[in-house]
Amino acid sequence: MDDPSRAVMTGERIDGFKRLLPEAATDEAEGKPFPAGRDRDGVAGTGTAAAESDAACGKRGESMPNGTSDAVEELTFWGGVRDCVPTLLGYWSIGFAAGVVGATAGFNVLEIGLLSVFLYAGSAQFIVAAMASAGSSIISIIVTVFFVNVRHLLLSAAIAPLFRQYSMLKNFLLGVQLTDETFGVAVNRLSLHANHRDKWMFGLNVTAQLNWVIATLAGAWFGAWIPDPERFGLHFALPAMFVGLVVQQIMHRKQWRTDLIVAGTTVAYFAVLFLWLPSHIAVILAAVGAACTGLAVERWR
Amino acid sequence: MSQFVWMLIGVSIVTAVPRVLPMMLVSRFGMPEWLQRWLRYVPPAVMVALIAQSVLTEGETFVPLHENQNLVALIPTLIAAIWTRSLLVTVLTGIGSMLVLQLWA
Repeated sequence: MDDPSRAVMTGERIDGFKRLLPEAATDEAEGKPFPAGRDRDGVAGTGTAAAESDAACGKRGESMPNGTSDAVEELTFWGGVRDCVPTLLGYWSIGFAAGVVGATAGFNVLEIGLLSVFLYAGSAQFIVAAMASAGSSIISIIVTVFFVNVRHLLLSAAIAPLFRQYSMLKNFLLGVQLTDETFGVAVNRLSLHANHRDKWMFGLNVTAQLNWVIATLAGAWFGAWIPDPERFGLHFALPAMFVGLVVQQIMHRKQWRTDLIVAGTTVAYFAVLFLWLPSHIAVILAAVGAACTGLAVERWR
Repeated sequence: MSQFVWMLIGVSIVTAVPRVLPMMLVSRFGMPEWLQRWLRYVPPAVMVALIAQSVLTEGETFVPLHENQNLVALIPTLIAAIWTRSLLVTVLTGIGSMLVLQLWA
């Protein structure tokens, strides 16, 4: 399914992208441990085009012409499953709450399960429940969900270079299960020096969605008997997870100044935009604006 | 039920298209260098924006700063993240801090 010739033909562009990915190797080169949450056995090279593409070099260490310590990390489906584990508390608590809210809004267990399988989006499932119980029209629900979820365009584009050598069908299958959480884990964990990124991503995706479906069904079934998860601080699992992910990422990339400016301006843009706009639109525009700011700082410093 | 099915189909399509379209297009047509450069800043920006949304707002209003427990819980969470670089420890610290805040405040 993967096309080796395309990966080779586009080697120039891939190389261009790799220069933008210093996170691939710096830590290991200095003998520091990986940040927790990454595989301890992970080995990444220090950057040659030979490291690219499953098809181009199937085995670890193969086709390394200069005999340096460059090595390709072999990812697996089960590695993706394992890397999903730290996010599960977030899925369980939010999913359980989404199930409770769905049941309260009058959806039956089957309908809640179908929403988790086909819609599979936390905030959108809350909004569907709220709007359905308020008697909103189908069209207005669909339009609202579109605006809530259109930020996935950004996430999908940002991880697309990591999957570009795979077929469109495979990209469809990997992308359709993309969420904020799996995106966060994937950008921290994956680099162009790792093989079988498709299998790893599929393991991550399947684990995440399976737990999401189970959590929402549990909420739908048992919600009435179990007290509000908010009372146990569980609603903070999600922001805490993003804090962990973004800190890992910034510490790993070693471009503190620009990244901290981007983080700071994101908060500022969000706070200002939220004065006039719905929060899910403010999130998108704040992220777009801050990324432009980062690019500007990089250019003119 | 048929009402529900139409709604389900609609929301699933408008959610799936933004998820798959960029990945499929890039795998087919590649991506210009300037866009790749710009997209490098998107992951931290999106994640910080999502943190800001869940910490600073509740529904469609700001949580008043002087009664925002999230901001207080954010401090130990941030310290745990920088100190341990472990996702699981960070999440547990965040939940624990929030639990303590809700019991004591």
